[in-house]
Amino acid sequence: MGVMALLRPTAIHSVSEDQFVVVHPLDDVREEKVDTASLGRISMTTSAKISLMALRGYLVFMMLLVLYHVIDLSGALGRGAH
Amino acid sequence: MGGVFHDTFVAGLPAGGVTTGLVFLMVAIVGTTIAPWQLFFQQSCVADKRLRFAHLNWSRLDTFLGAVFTIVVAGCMMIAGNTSKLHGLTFSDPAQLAHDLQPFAGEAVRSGLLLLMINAAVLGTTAISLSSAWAYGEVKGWPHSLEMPLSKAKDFYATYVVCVALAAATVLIPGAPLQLIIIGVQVLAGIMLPSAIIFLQLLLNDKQVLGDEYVNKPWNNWVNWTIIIVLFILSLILAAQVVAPNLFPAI
Repeated sequence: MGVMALLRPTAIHSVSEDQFVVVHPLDDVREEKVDTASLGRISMTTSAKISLMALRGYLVFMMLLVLYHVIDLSGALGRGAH
Repeated sequence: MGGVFHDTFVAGLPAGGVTTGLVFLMVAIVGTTIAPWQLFFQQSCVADKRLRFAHLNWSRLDTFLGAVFTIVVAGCMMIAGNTSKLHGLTFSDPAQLAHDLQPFAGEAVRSGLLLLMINAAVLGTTAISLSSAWAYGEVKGWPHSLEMPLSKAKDFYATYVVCVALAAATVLIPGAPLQLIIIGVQVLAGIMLPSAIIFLQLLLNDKQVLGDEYVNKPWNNWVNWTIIIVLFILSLILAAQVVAPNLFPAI
């Protein structure tokens, strides 16, 4: 069988047992997974909520601090680099 | 060679002690080795390829081999940088490093370093922009898959192109301090990493989502929490040193 013949769409029942079929991922049957939308919102304790708020504060503070340090290192603040 | 082997397993401080620059670099190295974007990239890549539970072990092996290869290459780059330092060479970019090392290390090392740099450039151009496009497409609810033709996922591909163009434009800014920008971004990745892993931890310990078979095992949690705690400590040391540069006296 020629290569072009193999590349043409083939009905699955017409493939003999000594041949393999490559199924394109978008044409494949979806695997059943957990329906996360039906689970609703993730349950969190008060301490988890407070921790996440602290994490948000840490992120904002550290991002501003790194930005300041990089600008400082570039010499844009008019001081000598450390 | 003995020194390299020893220092691989026994950590030590360079001359000068714990300086702001050293902590800055340590956070950058961790941030670029376990980059937060990689977590999103991995997830999106698995979803894009429609991998199944049956592929899990192969997928893990793929990740493991990738991680080992990355560390080996990073170690080789460090050895190359150290060789350069021992010979008193100064360099401002890896291409110059490769050329300067040729008389000492030979043509193979020069070509190898240059090839690795091309590899890093291709990875940076494709993977990080792709990760951003996948994540943004997910948030916006757009069709977002490389398996889709351009006509069916225009917004996704447009985001990808814009990300690549923005990165290229940044590099092409005349006189831009590229090394500082690169390390700054790596440090940013380092300080954002614990947050990304914490959310991943919440997800990985959720039995409702993953079921008993795939929920995190205790050793997974130990590894993840160790990374989180170490990075938090490094971040806090960095913050303290930026605010008070002379906090740790030089040794």
